[in-house]
Amino acid sequence: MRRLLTFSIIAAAATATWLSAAPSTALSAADTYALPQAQGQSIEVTMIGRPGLPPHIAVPPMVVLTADQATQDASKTVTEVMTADLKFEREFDVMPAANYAGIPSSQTVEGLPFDAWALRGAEYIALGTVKAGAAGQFDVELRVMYVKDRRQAYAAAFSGTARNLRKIAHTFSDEMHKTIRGVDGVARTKIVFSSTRDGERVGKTVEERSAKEIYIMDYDGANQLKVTANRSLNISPAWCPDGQCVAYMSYQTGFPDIVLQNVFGQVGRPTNPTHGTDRVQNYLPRISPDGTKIAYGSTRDGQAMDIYVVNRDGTDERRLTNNPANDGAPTWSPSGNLIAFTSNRSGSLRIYTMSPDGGQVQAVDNQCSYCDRPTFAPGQRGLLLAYSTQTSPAGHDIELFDMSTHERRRLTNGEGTNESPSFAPNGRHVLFFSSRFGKSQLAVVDIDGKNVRQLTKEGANSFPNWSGFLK
Amino acid sequence: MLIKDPMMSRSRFASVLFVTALTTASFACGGKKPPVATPTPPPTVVTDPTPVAPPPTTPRPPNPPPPSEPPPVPLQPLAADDITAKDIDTLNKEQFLKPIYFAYDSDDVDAAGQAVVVANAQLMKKYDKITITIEGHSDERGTAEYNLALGERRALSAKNALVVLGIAADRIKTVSYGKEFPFDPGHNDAAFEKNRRAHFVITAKQ
Repeated sequence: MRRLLTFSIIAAAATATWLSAAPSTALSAADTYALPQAQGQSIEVTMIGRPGLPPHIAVPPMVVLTADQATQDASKTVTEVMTADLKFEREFDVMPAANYAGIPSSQTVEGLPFDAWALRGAEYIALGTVKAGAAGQFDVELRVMYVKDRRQAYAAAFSGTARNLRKIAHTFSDEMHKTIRGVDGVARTKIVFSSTRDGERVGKTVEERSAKEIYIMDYDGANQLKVTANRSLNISPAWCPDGQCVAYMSYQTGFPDIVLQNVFGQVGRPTNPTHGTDRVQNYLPRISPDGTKIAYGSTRDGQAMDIYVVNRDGTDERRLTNNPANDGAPTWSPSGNLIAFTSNRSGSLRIYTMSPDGGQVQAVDNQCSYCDRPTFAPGQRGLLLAYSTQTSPAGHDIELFDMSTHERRRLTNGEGTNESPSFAPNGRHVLFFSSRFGKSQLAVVDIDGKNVRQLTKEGANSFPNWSGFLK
Repeated sequence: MLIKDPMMSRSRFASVLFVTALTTASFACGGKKPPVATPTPPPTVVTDPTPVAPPPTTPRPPNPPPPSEPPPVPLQPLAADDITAKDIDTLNKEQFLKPIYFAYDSDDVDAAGQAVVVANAQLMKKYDKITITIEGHSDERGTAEYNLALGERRALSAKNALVVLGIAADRIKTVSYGKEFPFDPGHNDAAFEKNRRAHFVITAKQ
């Protein structure tokens, strides 16, 4: 995938003569819009149109400039993927196609019937074209026009093969979100998880056991790829902050230990930084935000689980808790200055925080009686936790807790049991696994509790973890 | 094939994705070992067609003997009993050492469990070369993370019950599988009862 053209709003108007001839006018009805707190940024975006509401955008099928089937398929893929991306963030209100039936398509900005679009309520039009190029490449161009003043809001062009088309669509969406809405989209992020989908059996066990392997996939469930192939139990994966590697728990030696493995970039031999043996068993890794350390639980020599930290290269292992209760599921705050974990030291399973050297242990005052797998929202403004809390004898739900205001919010409401939350890197969505679909499957929900979307269908899937921003 | 530069350009990122997809696909089709494969040693039993986890007693077992060499024929035992006549897998599948069951969210070995532990201890005294791994499991209720700790506590409880009865601690290893490997896939109380268990898995018998 290669970028052919890129424009900022200003540069496009000034230099690209083949684009809209309409001069950019002063914004008459400007409103300032502060981003939601979870965004973690304090920038303000000037918006036009209906204040506070996502603008209507029309995303008609990308115009096919070469009439072969492959180009038509490419148009369909890019249009559908980009539309789904735009709907996902809820920053644009994507118009149903029925609302603009009869408006003729145009290959050029000049040919767009802007008045007809305006009458149907479109505030933005995404005008895309796809053309077959050399060697199986497609040239994909997108121009997003602001209907009111016929100004270009965003434009870019990429060249790529059929297998790059989704990435191209994701890039369009992320850049539109950034340019027009001031939001960091997550369309190019990835998810790592544990899955039984291969139907493999673990050998030599008392009863039949399904192996669980580590998989990765795109944020929307596409491109599911297998990372491990050892026919044992591989669970609780976590991304390295740069998205190049994952750490996970593997039972491939018969006992749980932590494996650090590259999935992109330089392919190297997986390592065992926690040096597990049958007597030193290690659980539930999470990598620090600077990528240098791994926090994990360990039950070495028959002790109850405690929290440890080790350097990524296996040096300088430190024990952070030393308690007869079970301390588990450690996780790092965005700054790396705090580790949250769960413990049943009070008699019930609650969430605690401590400094990365094990000092200053404090209970999080969220009134939990059974809370597990805490995880921090990204961004440095305040500390927002998500976790799984028991809400019925057999059921758990995902809850948010603001550590500064002590506000709580349920994101799921008793549909199946819901576990292992993980934030999107823009803080706007939470990934989890749920039994509500029958077998355990991955799902995502927005931080207002709306828009639950199922991401996986094949096999049983669990332990999702969302990557940081990727390019 | 390796991308040395950690700061990849857009086009390079796409090509690395492609490489990963290729290696993964070839493995999934039963092809060669991918470069991302984990450092698991080869199977210890050469004749076994299915890959197996190495025996838990040694995380890094030595390579198996060459397959061309026939194994020495053992002397016919004077009085064959279960333990000599059957291989370890069969013994474990038939539950030569019986499992024990736990109450919800409990790691206490109750009276019924204690009776099973006594019987298992007698067998381990009779066959004093047996070494075992006790697996702690839970039912599906509760979070996956918590159940890993609960399974560990159950396995340790079972181990301690054996040690109290005079079984050497170094013959017993423990492992927790949490709720990851239910014995009964059902979602009802009958299944839950079977799944809150500790298995006594023989890892060596001589």
